[in-house]
Amino acid sequence: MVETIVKSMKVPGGKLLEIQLDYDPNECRVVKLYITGDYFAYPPEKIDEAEKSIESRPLALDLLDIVRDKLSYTTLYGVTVDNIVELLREAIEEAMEKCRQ
Amino acid sequence: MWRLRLIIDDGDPYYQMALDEAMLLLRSAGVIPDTLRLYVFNPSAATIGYFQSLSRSINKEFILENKIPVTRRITGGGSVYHDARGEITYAVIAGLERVPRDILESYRFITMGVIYAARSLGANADYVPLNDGVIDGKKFSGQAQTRKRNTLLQHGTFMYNTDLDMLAKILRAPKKKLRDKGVSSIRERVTTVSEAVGRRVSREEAVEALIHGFSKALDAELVPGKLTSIELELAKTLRWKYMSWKWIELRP
Repeated sequence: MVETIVKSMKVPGGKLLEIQLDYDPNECRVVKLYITGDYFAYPPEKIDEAEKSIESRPLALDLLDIVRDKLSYTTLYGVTVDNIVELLREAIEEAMEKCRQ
Repeated sequence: MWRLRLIIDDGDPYYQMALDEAMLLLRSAGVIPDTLRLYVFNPSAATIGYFQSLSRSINKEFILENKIPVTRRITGGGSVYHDARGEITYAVIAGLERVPRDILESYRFITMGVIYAARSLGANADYVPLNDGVIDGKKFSGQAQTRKRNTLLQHGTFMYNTDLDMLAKILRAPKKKLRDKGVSSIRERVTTVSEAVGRRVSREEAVEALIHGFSKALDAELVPGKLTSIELELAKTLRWKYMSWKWIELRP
């Protein structure tokens, strides 16, 4: 079973950012993460790597550090690493909440 | 003086995106010269940015119903409608020694090509960072850039007479984004050179204006040339990727 949470923001003076978190509510695990929007990243593969870095891991807030680490050498335009981590935090917290029920 | 090969081209969306990627790879391998390509998407098509969600950036039902092809770019940025009868896309493929290293500066440097082109047709055009060309505050041109090793690919649109009602039906933008831009619909946010100058600008005029605009912006001589067989071969192979739903739905 897979549930999806989407969190989005328009970064003021920047671009649209959406975090899509697909998770398994029975196992409380991440299935897939998508960091989407009309932003730019150099090099772009770093976003793919960040998305993959937490696949199938148990839902927990330490996933935020993993994603932050993956993006440490990425130049972003229109969004920031903090924006990504903040939205991801909201998504993970909501997923954890639903998981416990 | 900087000399760029000038290629004027027309083809389906998968070929167009494949050729841009092929040229980025081959230029970074030193196999082809710096190039300005001006091309038309034929048939009309939509593209979305590398990081975009397909379902959230495009009205998928509408494009499937109306058989409008869509593909994903290797560049970031937003969703685009490429009207075969109203839009010309440009691509600059160049070694980094010829353009500002700084990413923001390089966007400005290249985007001025479309700004000068629109101005030469009588429109009051300006560059708005990071990647917009606007006329009286409305967008007529969007750009997207990526880099590979020592090479830059920047491609962008020049809407000289795009069917904007069609564009508004195809593209999706969330309320949050529109509100931030001070508009309530996509249609209010966009314009074309024809709409701005109050007469129908033809494709030939638009191409001429772009040649003039880019020679000025890049301070370069544009030398009409031909695609090499290696570019066509690689593009033919990469075209399969751009046609595949696996690629298009990379971020569903």
